[in-house]
Amino acid sequence: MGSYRARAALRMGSIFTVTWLVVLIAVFPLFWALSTSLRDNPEIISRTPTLLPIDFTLSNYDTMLKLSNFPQQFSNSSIIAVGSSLSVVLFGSLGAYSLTRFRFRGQGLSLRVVLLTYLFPAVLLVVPMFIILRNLKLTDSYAALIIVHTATGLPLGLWLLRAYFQSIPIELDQAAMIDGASRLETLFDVLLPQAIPGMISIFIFIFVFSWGDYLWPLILITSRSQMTLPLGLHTYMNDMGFEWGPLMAATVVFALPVVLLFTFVQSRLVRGLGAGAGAVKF
Amino acid sequence: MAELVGRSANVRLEGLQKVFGKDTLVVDIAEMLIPAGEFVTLLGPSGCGKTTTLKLIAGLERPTRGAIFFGDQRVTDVAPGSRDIAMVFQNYALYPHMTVQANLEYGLKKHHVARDERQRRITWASAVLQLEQLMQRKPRELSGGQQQRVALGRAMVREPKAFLLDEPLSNLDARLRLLMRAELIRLHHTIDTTMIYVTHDQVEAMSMSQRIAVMRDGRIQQYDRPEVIYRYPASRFVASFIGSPGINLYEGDLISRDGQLRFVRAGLEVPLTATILERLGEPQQTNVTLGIRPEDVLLHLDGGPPDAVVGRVTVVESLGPETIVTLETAFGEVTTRVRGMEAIEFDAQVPLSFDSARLHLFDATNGTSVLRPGASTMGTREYRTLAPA
Repeated sequence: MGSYRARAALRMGSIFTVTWLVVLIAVFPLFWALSTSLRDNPEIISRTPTLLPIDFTLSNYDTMLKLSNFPQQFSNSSIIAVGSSLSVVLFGSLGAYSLTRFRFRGQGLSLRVVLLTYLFPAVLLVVPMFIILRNLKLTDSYAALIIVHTATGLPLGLWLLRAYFQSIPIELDQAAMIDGASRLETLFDVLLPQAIPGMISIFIFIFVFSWGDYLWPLILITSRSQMTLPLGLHTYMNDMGFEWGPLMAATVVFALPVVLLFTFVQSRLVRGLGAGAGAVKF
Repeated sequence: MAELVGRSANVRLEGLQKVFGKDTLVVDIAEMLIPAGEFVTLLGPSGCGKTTTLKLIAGLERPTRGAIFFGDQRVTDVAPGSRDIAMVFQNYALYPHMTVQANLEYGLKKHHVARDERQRRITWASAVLQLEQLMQRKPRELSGGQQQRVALGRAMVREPKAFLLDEPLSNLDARLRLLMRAELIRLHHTIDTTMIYVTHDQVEAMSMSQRIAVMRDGRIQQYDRPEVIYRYPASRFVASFIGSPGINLYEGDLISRDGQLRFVRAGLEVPLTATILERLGEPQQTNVTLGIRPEDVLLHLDGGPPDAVVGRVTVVESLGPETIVTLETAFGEVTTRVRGMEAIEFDAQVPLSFDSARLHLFDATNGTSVLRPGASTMGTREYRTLAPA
């Protein structure tokens, strides 16, 4: 009995240790950025590092806000991330509705093609996408990034929301039709409320992807006023060296929306991930 | 609700056909009239087309050929929401994110019913179905029986021309099913609206309906009052589908001997009496199937007539009010039911005979009855009203 209890304690102890080790590895960089952003310059480059700042200061945040284009970049990134997420949720829902509620020629094929584009490495699309957007005179604009992020995120959105819509019994549509609702009313009054967890998951996925994307803004954005945050962060690393303090301050603020998003909707997201696993399983 | 009687409409199907895919004929109904205010059941095994027929009436499926009429109005091309019908689904299909109140109200809002009138109908329906305490709950907070009542309520408040019910009791447990069966009969009596009910359960059909359409492979095999269908089944299929335990069936020949027509099979010889002969007419077919219901097989526990066949008891099932006995005979297995709880021993040799007036004879090749229906049959096109208007 005693040895059983000892073994159980040992097992719990090792699970505990491993879990916290993983958490530490994941969280430490963010913690270090936060910690660095709160030190003054001599302390940052000091050869005897300390875990916590000795002289607590907010001057890096001050510098970042005053000297860089941070507020402009933050707002650019927000508009693009929210715009892309909303557009994927909108088109994903409408597409998922039609894929699960109608039968049309080439239905299966269209789904497979959509999946194929998702599996296609984004880097290979850089040149054609750039040429298309340049011909449309859309480069260096919010629209360019929203279009590209929608195009790359929609396959995932479509597949995940399709799984959600499939799980909604068709009798709900039929009940609403008999109750006198039109197709659009059925979609908005009855079906979309059932798919809200999926829509939130997709919103977060696309938001995080769009918010942190470096590749597409680098290619499509040229003017300083249109720069997104990931591009902006890069400007702290210039010929004059690395401005560690303001860079870390910007990094912390950059990470903030995503951290908040995850904190508040984590439970919903986990459910969405569950459904997402179902979406790719046949 | 007297004002509802006038709204209830008869439903007529004409040459109705539904083809799935290229050439799978799932519904093929030449003609069917469902009289206003009646409780009519579409009964049949799964895949017989009964639910598709209901969906055609609802407008959820479009017929390949044929027409549907509500009263004099042709509704074949009318959208489900404009047909003025209500439907109760097998899984209830309540809107999960809406309260009971909102579920009941949704259809009324979509039909632009004024607020006062909406509230009046909801109050009435929730009183009839005892939903008052549940109005602010969501469907997932309700038991199966309560969800069932909400689904019925959602149909009732619409005050429709016809109620369509698609196996509404099949998701309930046995005790609740009995309860809701009685509830539905009472409800139909209260609101007097046309009800079209789909089920594969012959007990539900027999106990609730004023008229039953037995379906098979998309076609109506027989459409009549329950007692007629039970007493004078039009085919071997109908005979075996209705009744529990099932009818006994034996293949054999009709042979004339000593001036009397007899059903003959190895180990069995049944002379046909006048009651049967007058329904038989000229026999076209000598190869027939004889059917006899378990309650029409007589067991002679105190020794029977000299010509009685003897069977060996193999199964005894005592149900309380009746006992079901299965016997092994020279011509095959026989199932009988006797009243009460008789002390019947296994392996006992018991003489048995058939009630000669209650025989059924079916064409052995196509299964249709070779007997004309008895005198008490109502033709499928004549209707008798049970409840006074």
